[in-house]
Amino acid sequence: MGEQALSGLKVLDLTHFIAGPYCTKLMADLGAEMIKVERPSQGDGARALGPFLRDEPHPEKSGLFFYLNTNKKSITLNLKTETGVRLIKELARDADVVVENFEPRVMPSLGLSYEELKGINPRLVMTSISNFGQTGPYRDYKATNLTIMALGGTMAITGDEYRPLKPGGSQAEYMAGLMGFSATMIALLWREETGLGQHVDLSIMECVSGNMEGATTEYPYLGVIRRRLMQRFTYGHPVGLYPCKDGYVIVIPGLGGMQSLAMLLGDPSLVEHELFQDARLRQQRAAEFDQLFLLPYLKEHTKKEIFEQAQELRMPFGYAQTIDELLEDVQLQAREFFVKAEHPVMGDVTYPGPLFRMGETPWKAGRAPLLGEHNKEFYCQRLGYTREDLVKLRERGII
Amino acid sequence: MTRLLLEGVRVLDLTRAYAGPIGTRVWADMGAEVIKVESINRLDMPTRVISYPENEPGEDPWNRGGYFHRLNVNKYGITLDLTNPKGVEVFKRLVKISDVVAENYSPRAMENFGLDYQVLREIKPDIIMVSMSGFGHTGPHRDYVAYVPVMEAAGGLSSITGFPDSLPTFSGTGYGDWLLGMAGAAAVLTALFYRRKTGKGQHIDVAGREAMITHIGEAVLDYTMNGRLWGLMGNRHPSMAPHGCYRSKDKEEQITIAVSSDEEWQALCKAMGGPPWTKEERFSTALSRWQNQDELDSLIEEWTSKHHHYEAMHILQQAGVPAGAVLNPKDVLLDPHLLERRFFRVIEHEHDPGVGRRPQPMQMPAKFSESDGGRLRPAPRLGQHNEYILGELLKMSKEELASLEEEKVIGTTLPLRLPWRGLNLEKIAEAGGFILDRDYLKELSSAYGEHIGPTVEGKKDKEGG
Repeated sequence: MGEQALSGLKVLDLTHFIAGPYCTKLMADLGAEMIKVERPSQGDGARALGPFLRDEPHPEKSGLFFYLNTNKKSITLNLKTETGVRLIKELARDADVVVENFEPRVMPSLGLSYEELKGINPRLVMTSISNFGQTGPYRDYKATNLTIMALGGTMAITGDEYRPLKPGGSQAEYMAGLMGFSATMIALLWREETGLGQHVDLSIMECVSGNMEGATTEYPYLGVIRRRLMQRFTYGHPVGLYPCKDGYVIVIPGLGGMQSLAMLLGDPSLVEHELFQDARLRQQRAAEFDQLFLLPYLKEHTKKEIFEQAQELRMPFGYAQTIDELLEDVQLQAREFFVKAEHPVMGDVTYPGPLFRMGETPWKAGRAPLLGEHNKEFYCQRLGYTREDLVKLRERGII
Repeated sequence: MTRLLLEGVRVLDLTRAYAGPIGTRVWADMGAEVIKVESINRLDMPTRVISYPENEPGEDPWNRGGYFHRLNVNKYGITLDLTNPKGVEVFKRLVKISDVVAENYSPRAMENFGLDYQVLREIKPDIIMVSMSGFGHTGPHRDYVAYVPVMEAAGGLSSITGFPDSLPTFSGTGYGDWLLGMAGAAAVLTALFYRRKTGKGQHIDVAGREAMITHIGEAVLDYTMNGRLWGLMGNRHPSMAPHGCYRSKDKEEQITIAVSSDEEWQALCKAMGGPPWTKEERFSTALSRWQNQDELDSLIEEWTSKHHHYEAMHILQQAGVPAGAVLNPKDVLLDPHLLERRFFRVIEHEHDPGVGRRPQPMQMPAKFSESDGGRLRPAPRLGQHNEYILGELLKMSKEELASLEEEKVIGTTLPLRLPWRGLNLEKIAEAGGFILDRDYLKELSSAYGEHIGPTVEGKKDKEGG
């Protein structure tokens, strides 16, 4: 394994909370030099969000902040001061990329619009991640992960008969961080060919709508609006979550089909039964099928047994693994998926490893920076400020 | 003309079903030459046969599947049977002139074709190969198969998705597939950048369930730091309240509201007309609102149920409250904001007047200042580009192509007839799966300002269909 894929790439990271920091974390873990600019004293708002180590709210103990800011360097700077803006421009001069996820009106109001930065550095790629994009009627609307999951369309087709549901965690923001990463890489590849930077305007709502797949095709092709209950019709019977001896398993016969299912149930001759033969009949008499064949077997076996036996028969079974089960999972252990990094305040922290594994270029584990940890290195060594200058900047609330 | 963003990148796309094709579409939309490779003996199923226009299989159903059109916009399409040594030989010639090979078979398949990374690298030393699978290409479970529910379940997402009084729930959008595809897309872009600097290719291994775990990072840290397992929280939040999904005037519509500060709470109270209960002490602080959110939610619902979902959203947004209507697939297609940003674009299937014009979403949810994406080509018909790719690019003679066709290594039609049929829409609607909307082509045509639906020769413009 050689150097990292993005080593040598200089990124100025003006992001906060989840979507923007996740985008720049992906770059930093692949070797980009990431200068994260934080507000003096409070820093990134994610430092005030949990989960906190031992549930103690503290700007250096947020697990959320840690996870989204590995391998970055932190400097503090007040963007609402003239000096702050001047310093950002100085930094943008020799950066390859700027990533920001302020509300669309913020960067222009600070005098840091793309046009302004392009004037300083025409090779600069600027990636702006926002809830609704930099244009359009909802541009200045407020949003959270929940309301974007609703507007993007996910919730209308997720959940039960009466209740729309959002997926767990902050998926809309993670989706946007990932797509922001790809969009930035595309702009960088184009720059390699043309020598020119550009502005990328990424919308979180569009990330979510782009995951609608079949549902936004069914309407213009069939004139049908999918409802949440449609999930029941997607694969036929039996498909779904079923109780077993120690929890729930996902039953999906898959390509192996009913023949494999009969083998799993321990009686290959079952395929002769009319309920195995006829899919429509099985759908109509679903409860009877379950009572007769499926439930007795499932009750006798644990989720792991069922999962492994079914997979040996090429049936894509699974079970809803909880996080403690993931940490003990033999496959994830064999692939050394979870990694550990030492943090000066938090100690050893274990967290999820790479999104993808590249054969030539290593992904690296690392920790999140302390607030302003790299001020001295950055302002003095890079920009040539003296220690006295730093004191003055600090007194004036600029760093 | 300006250079397309990924112009000059050539991809051999062996991916099938959902996860792979949606990922490779990102490159195709950005201008890469993505060549979809299928076999007439093994089509890209099931997407080629789901969602026929107007539910009609027609003469060539395999060219009419709406899902396939959705996932394969902008790609070229050739047929090549890789279980036939002649097909493998042609594929190897294509590798020589390509930059990327993408696949989402189970890990054994490429070895069985004799086309694993070691082989490809000998043919083209700087080739980039991406393998997208459920559990990854190494480890004791590498050959396990995963459909999207398993990807979400084995990735921990299901354990934190669902209502507390119910069971773990899968996304209705195939999120696990989307994520695997998008992780693969991101990985290849990274590898292309590295190759541009160093001239080196590489093999990339993406496991869908691992990608999923990386997207629930904070839940993992709560466990590794504090030993806490997140349960099913429905639409609730660990600290924000109100934070939920509420009824509206119409029983098919809902609205979400999420209040993150006292300021937004005050704005919400005012927007609802300041009913007396909003001043009660049990709702006076963020913590007390969170503790009393059952009562809070039902009181808020009294207000939301007097309004339509969009209407409530606009009232609340004007007041500065984060609120979002729960948009169904039709709403999303007709949403004024997405329309103005041209997120869906109308694709003309010029070789299939029966398909005609249909809107499809752009797969890269971003606007680039230096390119509007340029061309939009419909998903390829089966073997549509055999002549261009094999004839022009590989310079194979007409005789060679004819003999490959005779041996069914390539082709443009299917060797067997299957009982193609549409869905029983009425029956599914009756059972609650769909809402039928007979006016869909009219509604879409009016929203997009051009004819949507089948096109008839010579009547391609506004009055067509």
